Amino acid sequence: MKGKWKRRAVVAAILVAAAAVLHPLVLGGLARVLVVNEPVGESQWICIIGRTHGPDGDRCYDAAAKLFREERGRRVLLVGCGRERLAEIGVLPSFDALGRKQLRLRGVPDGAIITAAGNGDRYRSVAETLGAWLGDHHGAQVVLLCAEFRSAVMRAAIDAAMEPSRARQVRVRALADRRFSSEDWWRHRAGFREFGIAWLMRLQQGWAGSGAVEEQPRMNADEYERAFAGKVGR
Amino acid sequence: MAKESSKAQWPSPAALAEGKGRSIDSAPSRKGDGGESRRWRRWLVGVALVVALAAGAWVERATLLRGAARWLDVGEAPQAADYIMLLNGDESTRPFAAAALMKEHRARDVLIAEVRATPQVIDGVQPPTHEINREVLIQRGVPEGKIRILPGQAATTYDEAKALSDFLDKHPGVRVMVLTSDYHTRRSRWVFDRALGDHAGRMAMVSATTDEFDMDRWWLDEHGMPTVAAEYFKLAFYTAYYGHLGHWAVAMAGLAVAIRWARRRVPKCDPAGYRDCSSR
Repeated sequence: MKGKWKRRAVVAAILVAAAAVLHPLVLGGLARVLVVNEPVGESQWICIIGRTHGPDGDRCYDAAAKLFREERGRRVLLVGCGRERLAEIGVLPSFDALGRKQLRLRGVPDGAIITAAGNGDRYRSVAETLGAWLGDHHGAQVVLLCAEFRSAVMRAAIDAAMEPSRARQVRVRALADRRFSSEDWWRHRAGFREFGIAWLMRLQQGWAGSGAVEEQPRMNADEYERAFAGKVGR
Repeated sequence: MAKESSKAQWPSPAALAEGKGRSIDSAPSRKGDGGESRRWRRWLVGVALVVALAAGAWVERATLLRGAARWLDVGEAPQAADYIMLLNGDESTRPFAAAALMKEHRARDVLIAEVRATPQVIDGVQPPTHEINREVLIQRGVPEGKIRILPGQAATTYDEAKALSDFLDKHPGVRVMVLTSDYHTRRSRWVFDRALGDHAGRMAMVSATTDEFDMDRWWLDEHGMPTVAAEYFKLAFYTAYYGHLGHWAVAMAGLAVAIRWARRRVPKCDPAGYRDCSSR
């Protein structure tokens, strides 16, 4: 009996030691599945996408301005995210206004920036908007900037929403968060959260596939307040 | 003598009938083939049960998943209170709901916890969330003087609960409505109950309806899936981290080891009659 427990203790000690030594490899590998980083090359357009609460990807304006200065992109495309309730009531600038201001501050002239109005802030909606825009701009090459852990989600959405030839016109560039990356995400609370959310998004893409629900149109501020008051007043 | 020997070698007919015996053809072994077949039968029944449950869950997945989202919502009907504590996050819905409640005179003032700056705030790309909430309330008609920012550099729901706890320490007797998104109310209630301690009875949890995704089809939506599923992970994390689940787990593991050790000291009774059970 004692020998059996000794064996178990040795196995447990080996497992703990292996986990201590190998965890960066395993956890980093789990995160790398979420990352798509395609070579930029000579792209004509640098694309920044809008989400409900700001642009996608940490320091995306810095990255876009850098690519512009290096002449690896000649123009910037802002893909909007549909209804912006906070912008509608004037609390925040619209994604378009914010993007133009931030890019101007970084040396990108206003004439080099154009906006494609979006229908929503799901990656699928972004891909559809971009696909439609590419339909009007034949042969355009786009480097799309997005958050590191969401880059695989973005790529999958592009592949699902566009024809293969059009999807190849878009190259996804992953922007690591300044606080963490795929190499050390487990050391930071925000990294942990982002890792979990990105995996859940990937699972949702796999699970829902073409059965994913259409983005529902959002109410404006007055409609939302009325609906809420009606609900709690019952 | 021969009879006694036979009794020692082979199980009784009753035991055989119950499947506890062994095949006559087989060589005698300590456990016996009857025990083996019984184990197999149990294993098969277990597998069949798991498969049946999984199949049932798959067929009824929509009902189950809808129920899972609804379970997270423990919001109450808003009652008159002295303050509304508006939790940060989901700025497209929560402050609008708070403004609607203020317009109905359900509370005197709104409390918002100050939040820690995010990288976007440091870069000047976005104002801090508590400032966004404050601005929305003002834009929606709540007088500026009725909005109070609670200091504390909050980064989590727990930090916001601590900020409210400090406020209630200084304001005895007041009642507070905590307003947050519907899917966030269960975790918030759990956190606030613990952080407020004796003050918890002075708090009511109110749900702001999320319109970012359909709660009845959350698993098919890009926002719904990470929001609802992550809420369960967060609930588990909060239970473990703030609810001292780790201590409980260690205590239970210790108890399990002790029980196992104690059971090993008691001689086993062999149902097939290979061992003398009279000592038990």
